[in-house]
Amino acid sequence: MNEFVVQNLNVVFGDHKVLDDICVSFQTGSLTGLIGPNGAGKTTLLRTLIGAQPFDGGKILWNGIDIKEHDRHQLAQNIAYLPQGGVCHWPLTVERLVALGRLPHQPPWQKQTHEDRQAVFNAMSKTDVAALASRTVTTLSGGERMRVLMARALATNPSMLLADEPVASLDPFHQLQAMAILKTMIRNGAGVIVVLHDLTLAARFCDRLVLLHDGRIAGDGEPDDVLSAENLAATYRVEALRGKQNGEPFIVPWKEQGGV
Amino acid sequence: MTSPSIALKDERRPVSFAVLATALTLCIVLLFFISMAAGPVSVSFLQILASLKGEDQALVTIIIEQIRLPRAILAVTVGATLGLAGAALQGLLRNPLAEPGLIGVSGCAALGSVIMFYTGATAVFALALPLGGIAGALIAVAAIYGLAGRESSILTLVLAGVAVNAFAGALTTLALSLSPNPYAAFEIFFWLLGSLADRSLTHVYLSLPLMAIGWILLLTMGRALDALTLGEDTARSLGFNLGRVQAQVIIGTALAVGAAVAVSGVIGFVGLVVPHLLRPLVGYQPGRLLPISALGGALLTLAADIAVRYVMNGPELKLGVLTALIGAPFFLYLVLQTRKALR
Amino acid sequence: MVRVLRFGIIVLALALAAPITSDAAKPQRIASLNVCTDQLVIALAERSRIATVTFLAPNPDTSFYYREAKGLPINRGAAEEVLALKPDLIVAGTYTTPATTALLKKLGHRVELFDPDDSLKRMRKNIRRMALLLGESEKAEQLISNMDRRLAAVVQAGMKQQPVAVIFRANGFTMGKHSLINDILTLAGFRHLSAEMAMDQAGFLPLEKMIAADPALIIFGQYKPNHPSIAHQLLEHPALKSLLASRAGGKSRDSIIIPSNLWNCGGPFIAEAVEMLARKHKTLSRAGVSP
Repeated sequence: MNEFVVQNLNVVFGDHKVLDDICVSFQTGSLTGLIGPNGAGKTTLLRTLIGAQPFDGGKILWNGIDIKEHDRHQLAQNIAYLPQGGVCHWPLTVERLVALGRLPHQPPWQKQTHEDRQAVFNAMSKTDVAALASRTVTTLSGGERMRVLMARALATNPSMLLADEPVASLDPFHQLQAMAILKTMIRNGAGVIVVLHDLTLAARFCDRLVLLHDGRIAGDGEPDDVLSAENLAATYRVEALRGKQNGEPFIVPWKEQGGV
Repeated sequence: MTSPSIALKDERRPVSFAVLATALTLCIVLLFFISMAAGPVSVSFLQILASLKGEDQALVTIIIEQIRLPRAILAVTVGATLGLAGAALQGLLRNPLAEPGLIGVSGCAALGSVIMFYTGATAVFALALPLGGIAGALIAVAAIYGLAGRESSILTLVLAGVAVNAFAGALTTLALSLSPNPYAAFEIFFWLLGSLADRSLTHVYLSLPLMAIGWILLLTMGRALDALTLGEDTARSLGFNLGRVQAQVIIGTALAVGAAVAVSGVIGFVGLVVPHLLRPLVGYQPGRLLPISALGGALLTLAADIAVRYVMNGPELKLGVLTALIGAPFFLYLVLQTRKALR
Repeated sequence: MVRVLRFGIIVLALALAAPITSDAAKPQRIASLNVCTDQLVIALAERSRIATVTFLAPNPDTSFYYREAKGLPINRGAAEEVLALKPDLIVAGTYTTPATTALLKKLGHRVELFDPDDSLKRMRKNIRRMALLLGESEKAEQLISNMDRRLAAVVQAGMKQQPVAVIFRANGFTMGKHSLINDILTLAGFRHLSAEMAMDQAGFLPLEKMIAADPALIIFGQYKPNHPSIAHQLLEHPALKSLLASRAGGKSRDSIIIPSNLWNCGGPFIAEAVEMLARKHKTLSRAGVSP
C-alpha cells in the first residue's frame, strides 16, 4: 500500500491563504473525492502533491519520505496527474499522446517496448478511445479529448492517480463510464484522488470524501456524513434534494441559500 | 489481451523517421559537393575529390580547402544550429513563432560579437568572438523568457521579440559607427543580413566546438519537450525537472546560436520555416522534430548559400536577404493562419 | 620624345599664359577642395599663399604632404568655409561635390577643376597645369625632372622578368588598368593583374579569382590591427597566407605594403613607390620568379 501524508500544509498567494494548515492522508485502495466550492483550494492541493506548487510550510510525505527527497523519476512512475482544461499544445495523434504516459518508464533513448505498447492499448481500450487511435487530438470533441487524456494518465499504470475534474466536459454515458474506470483502478489496488463538482457522482462512487472550504478541511469521511445538510449549507451554500436508488444515494442541489 | 491490428507499430507514422533522416542527409551530402563546386573559379568535381583525398594540386587546393570547404562546412553547421534552435525554442515555449531571429536571440548575439570584434578583443583572444556572441544570446533568451514566459500568447512573444531586436539592432549600429575603422559602419549589412562569403577554417574552428556542445544540450531535450505538450504541470508529474529543462534549452540555444552568429551574422527565418515545414512529417512531436529540423536547417542554408553565388552577376547577395525573401512571406502566411485560429 | 613634349607644352603655356596671368600677380589666397589638388598646391606654392586645404591633407593615410599640411587652415568642402577665406583661386577635382563647385562659380569665383590622376601622363599634365595657375612653372619642371631621374634609374637597373602584381585592399578592392598605380607597377617592372584580366576601372576582385591568377606580388592595403573590420580581415585570410607561402611551380611569391599616400594622388613622390616596388622586384628575381 502506498500513501500520501500531508502535514500542516500552508500555501499563500500574495496575502491570501489558499491552503491553511492542511493535515490529511490518502491511501491506495481508496477512491477519494476532493470536493468543495470554487476557490476552496482543491486544485492547489493536488498540485502540491505532484510538486508543481511550492508551499510555505508543512510537509508532504510519500510512503514516509518527503517528496522533495524522493527520486523524481520514481515518483513519476507511481503517480499520474490529470489536470483541468485538457491542454495539448501540438496536434498529436491520439495514440502518440497516450504513449506520452509511458515516458516515466522509458530510459533515455529507448524505443517503445512491447510492454509500452500493451499499456497504451489497454489504457485506450479502458477509456473507449481505441477507435480514435490515428485521429488528431485537435479534431476531437471536448469529451473525446478528455477520455484520451485520461488514457494517457492510465497508460503510466500508476499506483495513485490525481485527477482534476476529469468528467466536467463528458456526456452522461461517458461520465458514468469514467467513474467506473476509476472504480476498477481501486479494485486493482491503485488509489485515486478526484476533484468533483457533481455531488451524486461523488456520493455514489467515492469511498471517502474530503471537503475543502476556504483552504481548510471542513469534512473528511464517509460520503453520507460529509454531504450532510449542514455541510452543504456551510460550504456550498445550497440546499439539496436527496434520495436513494437501489441503495445508492443521489443528491441534487436544489436551492441557493438566501435565494427564492 | 493481444495487441490489436490497429496501429501501434512504429511504422505507422506519416513518414518513417529513419527514411526522413536518411533522405535529408543524402540531400545535404549532394548539396555539399555542389557548394564546393560553386564559385567564380571553375573547379571540377574530380579536382574536389582529389583535394579531399589529400592530393595537393597547389593553387586549386588552396581554393578548395581554404575557401570553399569552410564555407560549405559553415553552411551545414550554422544551418543545423538555426533549425535545431528553432525547433527547441518552439518546443519549450509551445509556440510555433519562436525562432532565434524573430525573438531577438540572433540580434543580441550579433551585438555581442560586434563588441568583441571591433574593440580589438578578438585580436588578443580569438575565442572572444564566439564567446561574445554567446553572451549576447544568453541575455536575449533570458530576457525573452522573462518577458514572454511560458504559456504566453503569440502576441506577447512577438512583441517581446520586436523590442529586443530593435534595441539590439540600434546598439549594434551604434557600436559600428563608433569604430575608428571607416569600413565598420558599412558592415552592418554583414551582421544583420548574414553571409558566409570568404569565411575561413579559422571561423570553423572557433565556432564548431561551442556549437557542438549546444547541439548536444538541445538534442537531449527531446523527451522533455514531448512531455511539455501536455503543459507544465503534467510534464512535472511525468518526472521532468522543469527548471533544469528551461535552463538546458536556454543555455544550449545560446551556445549554438551565439557561436553561429559570431561567424556568419544573423541569418533569419531558417529556424521558423524549417521546423514548420517538417513538423507534420514527424507527427508534430517536438522530440522527433529536433534532429530532423537540424538536418532541414542545414539543407536549406546550403541551398541558399549556393543560390547567392549564382543569382546575381555582380557581388554576391547577402545570405540573409535570400532567407528573408523566402521566410518573410512564410511568416505572413503563419500570421494569417494564426488569425483564423484565434477567431 | 619627352623633351620635345616638354618644349611644346612650355610654348603653349606661354602662349596661353597671357590672359591667365594678365592680372600680373600670382594667386595669393589659394583654396584647395580636393586632397589631390592639396598635394600639388602644397608642393608648388609658398605656404603664405595657401588659404585652405582639405581635412584629409594632414592625414598620413591619404596625404603625402601631411607634415607640411599641419597648421594650414582646414576645410571640409563646404562653400561657406571657403567663401569666408576670400580666395582668389579655387582648385578642386572634377568629382568634388558638383553642387559646391557650381555654387562657387556662380558667385563669381575662379574655380579650376582637375581630372583624377589615372595615369602618369595625366599626372604630369595636372602638375604642369597647376604650376601654370600658381605661376610656379619653373618649380614644377624641377620637381618633374627630379622625379624622372629617379624613375629612369629604376628602368635602367634592368628587369628581365615581369612578374604579375596585384593590389588587394579592404573588401578585396583592386585598382584597374586606368589608374596611376597601374603605370607605377609597369615602371617598376611588373605586369598588372587587372590589366591582364581586362579590368579597366577599379573594382572588387573575388578572392578565388585572385588566387587562381597566381600573382607573384600582392600589394596590400594598409591595415591597422587594432582597428579591425571584416573588410580588412579579408587581407589576413589563410588562403592568402597559403598562397604567399606556396612554392608551387617553383615560383616565389611575396607581399608588400605600400603606403597609400604614395599613390592615392599623383605627385613627384610617386617615385618613392616605384623605387619600393623595384627593390621588391629584385628580391623576387633573386628568389626565382618565372615570367
